[in-house]
Amino acid sequence: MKKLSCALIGGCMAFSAQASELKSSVFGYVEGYVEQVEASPQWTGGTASSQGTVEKSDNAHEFDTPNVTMMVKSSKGTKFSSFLNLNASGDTVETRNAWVEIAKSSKLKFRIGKLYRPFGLYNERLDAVPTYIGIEAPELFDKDHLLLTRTTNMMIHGDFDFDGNTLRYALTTGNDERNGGEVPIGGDLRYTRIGMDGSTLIVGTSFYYSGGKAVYNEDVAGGVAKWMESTTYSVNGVYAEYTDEKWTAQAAYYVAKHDGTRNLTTVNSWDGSTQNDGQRDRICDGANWGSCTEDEASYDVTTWYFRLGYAIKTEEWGEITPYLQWDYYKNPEMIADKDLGGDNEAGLSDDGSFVKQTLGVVIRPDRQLAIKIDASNHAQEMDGEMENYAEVRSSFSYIWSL
Amino acid sequence: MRKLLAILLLMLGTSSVMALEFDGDVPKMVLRKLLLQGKAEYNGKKIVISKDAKVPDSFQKKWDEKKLSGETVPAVGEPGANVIFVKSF
Repeated sequence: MKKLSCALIGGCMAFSAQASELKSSVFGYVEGYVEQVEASPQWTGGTASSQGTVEKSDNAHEFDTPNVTMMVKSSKGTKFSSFLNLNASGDTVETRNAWVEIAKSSKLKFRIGKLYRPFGLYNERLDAVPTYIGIEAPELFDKDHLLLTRTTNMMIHGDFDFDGNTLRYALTTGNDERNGGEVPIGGDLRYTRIGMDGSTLIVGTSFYYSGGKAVYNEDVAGGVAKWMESTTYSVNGVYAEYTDEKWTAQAAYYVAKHDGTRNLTTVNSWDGSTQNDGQRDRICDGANWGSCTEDEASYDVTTWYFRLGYAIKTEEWGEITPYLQWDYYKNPEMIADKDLGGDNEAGLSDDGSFVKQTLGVVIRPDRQLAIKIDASNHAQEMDGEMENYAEVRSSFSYIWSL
Repeated sequence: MRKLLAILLLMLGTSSVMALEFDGDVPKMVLRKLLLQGKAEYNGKKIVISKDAKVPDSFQKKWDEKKLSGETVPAVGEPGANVIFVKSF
């Protein structure tokens, strides 16, 4: 009887001990944002057979709250966890992440739901606005010209420990932009080395293959242009980051290779008013808009960036980190008109490329508050001339928790 | 001379490592590296922080980044079995 009581009590204790391991935390951050773009160049007055002229048009300053997030992290021991990431910045609440994870060990974990794919330095970090240098995402994650979907549905991942240094792998798949039963595959492999002085060096590589035909999906922003019937594509890249108490240096290079088929009905509905001759040559094979017959679209999208920051500790303002960034992006298939699915950066230029140089500063009076101010110069060649315009933006973000 | 320089560099590099106080079966240098990465477990054991410990900024910034990215980071807790308990940094 005593043994039975002990067993029952023991069982109850074991159960309550397990139950007490369940830990949940609720937190998030709010971001206020304002930007002013200098008068920017636009194509106007083009026709079906020739490009128009480049004219500058004024832009009003804009206020926004891009992030009003609530996150719920729950975990039970080291085996089970879940994460919910909601953003209420728009008229409706957007579910950015909602996943469940089961871990056999730190070397093998299974995650399913809606999740950011590990892909380079920034894809998982972009919802940690108060912690990183810079305001705008690197160009491969700019929502107007993404290289691939930011989210996917299933992941196997894990860490291998080498005396405190870590090799992390991740393999992902999901609905992404697939046409039917294709199985898109993504992956990321990174090595993190911690130095004796606490400095951190990360080197890694990422890849993605659409698994066959991918199609444009209005509900899932990704790498397929709106005027594609379908495209089979891959993305590959490498990245590195060095951080210590003062310095942050980051660099990445990515290329997406597309082998697609254009929807000629869509392409021939363009009137040429905002397209240039370079785009007519590449997309319409030099024919007049409205009579394009070239539906094969084989092209590469290339992007790289470099970011450098230097943190200065002060008594009055906390941590002040001046930074500079240099971004390059080229997409020869891009057009400018956003209503048609274009992008008013790469889509403006003759060859689909632009560079963006940014200077800025992050001020962190407190670890929960980040004030960022930066200014960028956009430069692209239009009608054979280099056109520049500036943009100033500021972001105030605050991490809250219950 | 080279040996002396190496020893001096090692002492400089490990001075902050030596400040870490904890209970648990993990080499101190390894634990420090894991904490700098915001890792919350080691060999199946949870890494738990004492409520009296002051987490240095260099650790906290990484933890905030990982937390907002949905990852599990070391949390305040109590010592126990299967726990690496960090008492101070």
